[in-house]
Amino acid sequence: MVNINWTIFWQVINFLVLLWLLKRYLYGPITEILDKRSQKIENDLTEAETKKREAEDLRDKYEAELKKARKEAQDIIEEAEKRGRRKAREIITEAKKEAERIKESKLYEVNQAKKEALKEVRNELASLSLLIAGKLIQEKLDQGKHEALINQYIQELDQQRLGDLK
Amino acid sequence: MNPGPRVVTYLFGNPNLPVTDTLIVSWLSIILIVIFARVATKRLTLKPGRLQNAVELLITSIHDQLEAMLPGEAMRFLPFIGTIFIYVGVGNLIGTVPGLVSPTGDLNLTLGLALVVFLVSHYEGVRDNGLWGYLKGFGEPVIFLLPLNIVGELARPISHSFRLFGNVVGGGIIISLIYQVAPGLIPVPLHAWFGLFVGLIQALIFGMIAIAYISVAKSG
Repeated sequence: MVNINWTIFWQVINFLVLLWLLKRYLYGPITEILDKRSQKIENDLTEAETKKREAEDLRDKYEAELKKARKEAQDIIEEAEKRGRRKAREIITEAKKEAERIKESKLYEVNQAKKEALKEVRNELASLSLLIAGKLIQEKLDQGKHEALINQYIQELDQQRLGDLK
Repeated sequence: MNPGPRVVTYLFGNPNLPVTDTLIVSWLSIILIVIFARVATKRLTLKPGRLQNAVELLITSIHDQLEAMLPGEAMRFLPFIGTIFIYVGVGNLIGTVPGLVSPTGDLNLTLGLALVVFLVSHYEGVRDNGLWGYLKGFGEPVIFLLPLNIVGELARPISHSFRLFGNVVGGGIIISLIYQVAPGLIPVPLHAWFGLFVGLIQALIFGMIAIAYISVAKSG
């Protein structure tokens, strides 16, 4: 059962041959593929990291641009509102001025009409007073004297009560 | 019943060069291992298939075990320890094939491997510590323990080889006894136990002890 003979050398040689063959056909290729795979995984991870960073950069850029665009839009709106308000104010001022102007001219016209009317009334009153006075006193007076008298009277009236209409 | 190697023929008719059945089976296992390795590594891809996955798992398990016990040098020892494990494992398992004997049941194989491990471990010890530094280690902790250390050192390949040899031969003896005593299917689970389980465990132990011897020698 236990006999050591020359086959021990065969066995050692067997082992060494197997070692050499497996080194060549098993460990070599396997470690190579394992290294290659870990290399690939590392590369992929690095690449993914780079891509992620790029994507983040891009996102930041877009966000900044979006923010800028929003701000610009806001500015434009504000500018438009400001301009609108200013325009409205201008229109209102213009309208007020126009209204003032219309009022002035109408007032002027009214005053003018009043003046005309008063003038006519005065003339009418003069002849009416003359008629009435002639009838009342039944006195034949010189037409010219009468008119002078009446005019004098009216003059006095003007000075007393209608002075502001002159 | 005659456990142990049987001489089948003599090489060149020389009575000093016997060829035993275990030697032939060990050649057969080597051929099978190499064919398997060739097939398994023929088309290696980055996305492994089942076979490639299994082989990679085996190699990386051995590598991880080595990395734990010989940090930083796993790649250097991977072929050596891996071959020991695969060779002994296949040698144990092939005995369960009817008509074949376990080559590991031959002391010439186990002692041969143990001597190779013995030489490698001492070579590594000298390589790491220098000849004098390594030899000095045998005189520690005190010089009069030197003979004991040397005996202990010489006992290592013997215990290493006889452990595997004894397990395989013992298992074989028990199996053949049971086959003679209990007929039918009763010996089958026992045969599976001794052939497959004990076979793989012993291969693992043989490889682990080889790593341990190298590791101890390296530390001086």
